[in-house]
Amino acid sequence: MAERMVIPFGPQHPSLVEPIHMQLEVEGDTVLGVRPAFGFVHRGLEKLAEKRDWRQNVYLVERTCGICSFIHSLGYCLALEELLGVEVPPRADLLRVMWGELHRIQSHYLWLGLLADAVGFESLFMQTWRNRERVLDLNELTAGNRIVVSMCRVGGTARDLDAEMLDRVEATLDAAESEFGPVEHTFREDGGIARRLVGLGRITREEALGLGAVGPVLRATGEASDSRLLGYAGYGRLQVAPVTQAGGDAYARLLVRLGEIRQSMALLRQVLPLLRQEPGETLVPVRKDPTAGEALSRVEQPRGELIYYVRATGGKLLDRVRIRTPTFANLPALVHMVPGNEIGQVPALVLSIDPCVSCTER
Amino acid sequence: MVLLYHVALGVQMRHLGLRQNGGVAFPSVSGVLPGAWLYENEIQDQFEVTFAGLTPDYGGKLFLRRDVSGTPWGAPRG
Repeated sequence: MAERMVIPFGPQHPSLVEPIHMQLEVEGDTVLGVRPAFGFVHRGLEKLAEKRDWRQNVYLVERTCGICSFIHSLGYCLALEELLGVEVPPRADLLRVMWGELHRIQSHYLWLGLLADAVGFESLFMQTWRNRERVLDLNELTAGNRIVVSMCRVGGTARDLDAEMLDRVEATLDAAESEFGPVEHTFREDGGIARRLVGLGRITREEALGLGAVGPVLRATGEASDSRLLGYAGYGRLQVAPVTQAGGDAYARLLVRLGEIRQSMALLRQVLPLLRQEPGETLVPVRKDPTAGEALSRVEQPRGELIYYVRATGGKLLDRVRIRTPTFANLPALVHMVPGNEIGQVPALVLSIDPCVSCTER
Repeated sequence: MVLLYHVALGVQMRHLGLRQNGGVAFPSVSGVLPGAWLYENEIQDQFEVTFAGLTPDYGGKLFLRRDVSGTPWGAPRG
């Protein structure tokens, strides 16, 4: 009988982009139990948000995540707008959808590249990240920045796009869509990727719901849950159908993310004509401070549902800002999935939930 | 002090508040919602709040190093 021992996994590990630590209790090659530990990149953002003007917090919260920054600022602004009773111009709502979906595409591309790298498919990794560059170029074209675009404001967006800019966005989207085809085909059809992922980290729909899983981890179990169905920003005017799979394993999560890149491109195709047809203002100036009260917003990040809770007591400073990130919500599911797998499968398993540790620790 | 619970299923969401005197442990909901262990352990790490029946209970040392004493945010307001 093999000896039982504890093996540390992380916080520094070749397969981890960000630090996370797990003590794996193993017998031979099989993991029997896991004890997680966090706190390596905790920045105290929620506390910082209590010390800054509620307007300054827009810039603070979008730095919670270095990948899907725009959606953080969107979630915060939606909560503040509810608290202030501000109605955002329809055109700003559409622009928010556009930048939100561009972030979703580049985030999923980032993950696909990391997955290709993790399974040793270097050419696919390079092709995937080459495609991602085109989306980042679109961010730069429309916002002036590639990742932290800083386009969301309480009351709307910081910029508008003219017709010429919309033409350039559409032309780039055409190219991005045609380039995605071969990459998607390889991920779906390559036998090596399927052999690594099929059956890995399988959870049922009931388990995922009980563990509070969100985003592609939950949708890969067949649960059609997507915060965009709430209709925030401009999503209420668009056709949004959650992308689901029934497998519940890492391969199903891959298929969900591939489907969501297609879905985001389709949403952009819906938004661009509306932006052409409906000129208007994009920002309502807000000159008052929030009165005492509380508000909560739910938005869909690439990794799942993101929640912002804000509480004000009147004045420029907020009394509490709570950020519930999707990776945080998915960690109980990850801890549930690891036991029973071999040590060598753990890196791919961790990667399969698309962890964002900076988000998680805030 | 008041602990706020926001529970969602799909687009439906319910908000609950549980008021408790300081120094008294809140009942853990990890037996009903298994995923709640992470939320309750984080609150234990950061505030002077404990949960009775929390499983697994990391004793306030999930986000904090083991040699750290106390909670960084102290007792919650309100």
